[in-house]
Amino acid sequence: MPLLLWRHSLARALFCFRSNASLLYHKQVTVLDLLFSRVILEILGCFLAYLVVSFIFFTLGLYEFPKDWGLFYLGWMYHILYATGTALIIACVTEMYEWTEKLIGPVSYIMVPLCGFLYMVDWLPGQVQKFALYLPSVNAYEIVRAGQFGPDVRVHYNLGYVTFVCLGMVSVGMMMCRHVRYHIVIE
Amino acid sequence: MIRVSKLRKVYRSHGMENVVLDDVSFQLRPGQKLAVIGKNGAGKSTLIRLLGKVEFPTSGVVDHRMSVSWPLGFGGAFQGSLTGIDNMRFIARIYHIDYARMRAFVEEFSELGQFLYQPVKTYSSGMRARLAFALSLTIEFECYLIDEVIMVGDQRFHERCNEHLFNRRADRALIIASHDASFIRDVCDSGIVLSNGKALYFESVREAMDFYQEQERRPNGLAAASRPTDSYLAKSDEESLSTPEQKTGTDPSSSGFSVIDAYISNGAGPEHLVEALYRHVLGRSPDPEGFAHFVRRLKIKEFPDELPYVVRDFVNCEEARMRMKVQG
Repeated sequence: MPLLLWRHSLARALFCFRSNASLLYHKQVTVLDLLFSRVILEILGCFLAYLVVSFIFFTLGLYEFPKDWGLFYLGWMYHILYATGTALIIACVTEMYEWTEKLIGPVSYIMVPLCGFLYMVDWLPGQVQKFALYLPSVNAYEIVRAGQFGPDVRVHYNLGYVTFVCLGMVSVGMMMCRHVRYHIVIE
Repeated sequence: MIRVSKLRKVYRSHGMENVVLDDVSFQLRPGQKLAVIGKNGAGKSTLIRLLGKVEFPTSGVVDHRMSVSWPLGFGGAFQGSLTGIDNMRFIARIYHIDYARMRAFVEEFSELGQFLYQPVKTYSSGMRARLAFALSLTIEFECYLIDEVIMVGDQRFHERCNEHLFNRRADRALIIASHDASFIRDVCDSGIVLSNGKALYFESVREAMDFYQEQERRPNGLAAASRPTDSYLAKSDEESLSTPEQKTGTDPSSSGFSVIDAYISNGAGPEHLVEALYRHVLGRSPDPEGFAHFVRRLKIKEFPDELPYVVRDFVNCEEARMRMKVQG
């Protein structure tokens, strides 16, 4: 589900400013409002999906609630930060350079197997593990798993690294948003 | 008061730079009715959008010291897939207006009826303008920015606009971009003429209209004052502009600055300076009619002391433009 969160946020961010430019006629509305409202909708949708699915499988006896809620939510939080950061950056980049839009499709498909929801880091050979942990989403998935399964599984993640990268992406995205406002052409 | 200083807007697309507005400065008093006049593509809508802080300038400042509406016109301001009612609710919320009161007024004023429950993207441009206009009247701005329109729709709507905007809210400031000469003369008291990125400010709307219409009639006449001619370029490259300056007793190979400096030291009459500069910039004598306009624009009768500085700015702009053109 975090994979979908990331992919949907990405899709929502494409030309996010351009398609809602008419709302910028009102001084109260900022570019961040446009973007955050979309990302928040995605987050809520994702949580709702989680609730529905987990409820169904829980009643069927196929799902157990997380062993450690704290780690579980922490992992989700990193997923949200990662999706927000990506959305901020992508929204600005596509606004400034239209051709980048064409790259988003392939990239978001390549990320499906890579992003960490298909594998656990522990399954990978030692050398590859290091590279996998460069991806923030892999770290975030591992944290979610740590919360979900508790000490039954061996997880690998680097809390400092993932915090740094996610917050970095969000702040770079915010700075780009300030800059992109000067480029938005409104009708 | 709205204070605009050194506004510049450049659009970049497909590797081409388009300077729409360059070095535009003016002030708007409360209650002033300003017309923005210019040909299609002269930058009227761009200026209105910059004034409404919808788009941001490439450089320069727009300083609002009163509440300013969003640009009222055919497009923008609404989320197309929402209905008129939903858009109204949104606007009521962001401007902190009582929704019930707003709705009552908008229903009565816009006469959109059942269309208010349809998505805005299904509206005709006239309907959209009517909705925008009705909404903006409930918010009580101190300054209304009006792009092209309001004079759309039928006679009835027209009359109600006049009643609400020009009679009941006669104390509000207006900035109107329009082509309609008679409307502008009726409503506005001052004007800005946009031409080739430059803006000329006139305290009297009649002068502004006269200037604009003359410029339209003779594109090579006064308009050349703000548009460098190729003949000038060629001449200045060969430094063959000696005749007009020798007449005012300055160094023949000098720039426009020296003409002004010579004026300041000689203390000749302001008209002579303007004439000399005209020759310097255009490479020919000013034609008498256009010259009269230019002199009037500078108001040299009222502020003779300011003249050299105004003209210096004028020449400065011209030379910057030349340099850009030579490089580009």
